[in-house]
Amino acid sequence: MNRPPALHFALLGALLFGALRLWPSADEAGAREAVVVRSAAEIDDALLLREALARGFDERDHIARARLVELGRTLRLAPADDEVALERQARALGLHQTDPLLRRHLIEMMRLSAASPADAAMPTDGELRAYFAAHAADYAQPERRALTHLYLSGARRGAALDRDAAALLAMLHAGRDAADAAALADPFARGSQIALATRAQLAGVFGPGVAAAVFALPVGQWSEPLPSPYGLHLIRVDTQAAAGTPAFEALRGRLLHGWLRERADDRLRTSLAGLRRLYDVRIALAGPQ
Amino acid sequence: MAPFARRLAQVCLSSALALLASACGSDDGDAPPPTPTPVAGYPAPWQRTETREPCDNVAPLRQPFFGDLHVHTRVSADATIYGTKVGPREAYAFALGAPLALSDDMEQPTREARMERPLDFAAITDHSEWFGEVEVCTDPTSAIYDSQRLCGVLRLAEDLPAQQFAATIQWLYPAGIPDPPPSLPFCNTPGVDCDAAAVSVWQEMQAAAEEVYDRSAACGFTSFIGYEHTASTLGQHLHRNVIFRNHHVPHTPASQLETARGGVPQGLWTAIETDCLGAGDGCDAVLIPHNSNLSGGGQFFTPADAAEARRRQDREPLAEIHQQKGNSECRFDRLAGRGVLSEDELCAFEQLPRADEAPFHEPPAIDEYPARNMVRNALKDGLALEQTLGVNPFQFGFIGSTDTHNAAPGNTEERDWEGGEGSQDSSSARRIVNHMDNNPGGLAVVWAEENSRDALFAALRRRETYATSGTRPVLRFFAGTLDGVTCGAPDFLERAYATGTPMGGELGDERRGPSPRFAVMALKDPGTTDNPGTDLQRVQIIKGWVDAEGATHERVFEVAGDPDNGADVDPATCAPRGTGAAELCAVWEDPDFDSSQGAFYYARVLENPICRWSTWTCKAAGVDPFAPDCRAQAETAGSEFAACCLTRDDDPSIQPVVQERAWSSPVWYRPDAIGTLTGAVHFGSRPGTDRLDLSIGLTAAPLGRPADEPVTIELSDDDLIYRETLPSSELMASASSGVALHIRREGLDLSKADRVDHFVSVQITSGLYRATHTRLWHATAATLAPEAAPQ
Repeated sequence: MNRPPALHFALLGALLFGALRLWPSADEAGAREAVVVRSAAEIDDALLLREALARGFDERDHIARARLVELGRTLRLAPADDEVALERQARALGLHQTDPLLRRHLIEMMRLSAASPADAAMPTDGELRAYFAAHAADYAQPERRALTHLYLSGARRGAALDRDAAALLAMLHAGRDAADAAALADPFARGSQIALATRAQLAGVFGPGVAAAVFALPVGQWSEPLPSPYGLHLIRVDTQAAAGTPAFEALRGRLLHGWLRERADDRLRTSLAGLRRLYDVRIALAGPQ
Repeated sequence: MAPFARRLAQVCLSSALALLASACGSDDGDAPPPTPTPVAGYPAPWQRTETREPCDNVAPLRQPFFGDLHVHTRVSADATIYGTKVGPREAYAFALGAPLALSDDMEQPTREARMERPLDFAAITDHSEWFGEVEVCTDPTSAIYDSQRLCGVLRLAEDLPAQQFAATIQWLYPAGIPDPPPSLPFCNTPGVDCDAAAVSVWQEMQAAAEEVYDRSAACGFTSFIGYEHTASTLGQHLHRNVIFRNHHVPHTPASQLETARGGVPQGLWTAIETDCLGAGDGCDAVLIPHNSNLSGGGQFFTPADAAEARRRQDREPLAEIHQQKGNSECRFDRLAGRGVLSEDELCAFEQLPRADEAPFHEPPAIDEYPARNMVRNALKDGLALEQTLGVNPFQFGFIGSTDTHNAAPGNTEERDWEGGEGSQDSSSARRIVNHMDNNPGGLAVVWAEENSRDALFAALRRRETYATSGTRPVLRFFAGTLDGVTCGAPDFLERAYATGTPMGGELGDERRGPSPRFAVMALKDPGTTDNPGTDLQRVQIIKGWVDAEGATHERVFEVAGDPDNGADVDPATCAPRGTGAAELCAVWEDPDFDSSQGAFYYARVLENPICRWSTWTCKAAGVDPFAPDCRAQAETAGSEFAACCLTRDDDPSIQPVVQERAWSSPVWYRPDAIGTLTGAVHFGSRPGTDRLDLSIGLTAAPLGRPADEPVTIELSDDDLIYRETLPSSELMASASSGVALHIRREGLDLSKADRVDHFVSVQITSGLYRATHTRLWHATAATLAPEAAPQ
């Protein structure tokens, strides 16, 4: 924790500067209250904050008040033991709106309130199935392939690697049983068979080059020697599973929580839309970033 | 929401999580609870405790899965302080490859991170302390919202930088107070249901885990429900992560506030035993301590007695030995030229200067550094304690993880590391000035048949895991007679599992010659198209042992690769220079093996050098650690970048290049473990006519048991096949042949034994003595047997 003191004061400076920018303009008094943000991305947080302030969270919150006292004390806004004056002066500077700690806390409080469902209803089976239908793409799974491979290790075979791979492939083409041929191959730390795996999973096994090649192989035939970071592999795709979506029952838990989350997000959105109607949002482009 | 309504909602949520029909107001009835899915195909040697489709991608001889079991989101108070605004849902999405918003210097989410390769599994482990109180403190409708002093600590915790640390201590480390209250005082206020409030945050975490856990046959990703238990007594970092096996979890996670009175960690052990293991609903959990390097010697404490040693073994089968806040394997000070009970210069790797987290303690000199901060020393001491207590308390396997406070699981790439502590790391300058000693963290790798909770959790329990310092090399390690195991044997894996134990297991005196055999096989990280993996440099086996006087020793053996391959990096570009190996393999015997001395062995594989994350960050800021005028560049760039110029000559640990590495879990040699095992299960032609014929040999008399204690023998795979308790006299001792146990029984029902080649365990227990022998057994039409010795 070796933060230089300069940063400490720079932060306070930023707070003060921020205070001057977010104070609502006086000529809006009586109309919808103006909320000024620097970018569109800040609108929701600014509205949640403004609503929290409008509900007096900062005044009801014992800790928000202690925080303001602390800031007032640091800025020497009043005698150090006069907490009432310190808080009042801190508010006068707008610190209850600009202090980063207080802002995020108030925003989070308001977000939790705004997203809470009004009831504890669970989805019916029909509702879940409808949710599934609407979001099937989110649960889609890519094509998978299962393979057997014969591995020839570059480390073990050195200069003979290509020759050995070609010889082994010739044996397979000549009808040699795969199990017999395996006796002439090398052990691979991840085994000689990979069950149904996606291209990304195969890239984790053999590197991206072989993974791409595997997905271009016809089923049931031995490949040419394919180079991985480790050596050469003769690969036979044994089965493939088309891209698709799992069955509803297998997804039930995921769907349920997705449904619940979506409801919470909806409720939050509704709350935020309501807040946008309550306030006059303005995006100010001027000023240093 | 009124307390009752909140409670109802939470009951409904927990019902939802258990996938049961709920009585919570759905109109047209819910589907009946799904029955557990029948197992198809390979009989894995562990119980299935959950409902899911069977995995398509099953490897009976196991495959490596890469994950992160230590992740903080905005749910953790300290992550919130650092500006992390994303929660568990976003963290899991990042683990699966989605972009993630990170905090900038002003705690706004303007930065972004994204991983090239997803993880296979992850656990979100936010700090459980006062989970509930966080929500209570932020709910303005709560009856106590206005009146609490302690909620204010959270709100004050983001105070000016100078006070952040102290406030964090107050928030997260209440055990620093001599007598922490069992719960916050305001929880006794009428109308305040702290349990209900606590549950909702916990429920949200369970929901996030369920939403992302792939229960389909594709088995694409596994989430584990978990949390961090945060005990920091007197500045000693004694934290543990609790990882649950499945969705059966306690109603409230036991945090330090509740468990402190029972001692650290005994209070947590009791809570897990009571609330989880003893709950009778299928709950199971492992506890994983981390950052022993900051524990002031307190993480691996000497247990009170053998019972406590056994208890520790059972509760804590793993330790997280590498993460953002440094490495805990071993420690060497390059400048002093000495290590902590070690001369292993490779231990000058990602070492934090201090030995604990007490703000008033100075970083100790190497000779004052607490030895058991480093797990290698704890492992050695465990061998010595086994001799005096009868049970080894420190028989744990290794994992790595990140401890990210950015909610970014697995974000361990050294190049372009965005930091791990939110706004504290949000710019190059901040990373260098605040966290030069930190690193991007490590990964947990698990050898399991499939990517499901039961499979991965069983591997955590049996310690068939390894840790990496952030990259993804593949590492196999076996020990035993290893008959027919050679680096050229195509059936290497089958033979190794049939005639030896994998990493994490134990070995009795079974050998064909002067020493048991040890086999290591390592593959380099295959990398991606844009970021190819780094070649391997070498493999070592590290041995620790205890001698007849009770003194411990260690030795590092080079077993494969070339330590002098001269590999380095191009200082201008950080491109790797020189060659290494894509694959390394060795079968090794211990030249100093002494069958009377308990020992452990683990494999460590090192990659060729690469630029450290700090080198990339410094170069990007215009400060080149390799340049002769580095200091002048640093002065131009800003005083924050002074540390960029640290080299081997002026820092005990930090240097511009590092060698990423992986550490297998150890294998323990115990003279009193099962050395020889012969015999078979004979299946009769009619039910109830099966025969069991087993002979078990131990070289030394079992430790940890009273002389007349009965002996229980169990034969199991995923089920219990056979159990019998015998009088102590059956454990026959003879001077020439060691200690033996013979079982010959007829007329048995051994139908629980699967009739294909699969893993079978034999376990002997007597008092606190326990020995386990697990191998791949062979099945014929009439028998199931371990591999016989070669003739």
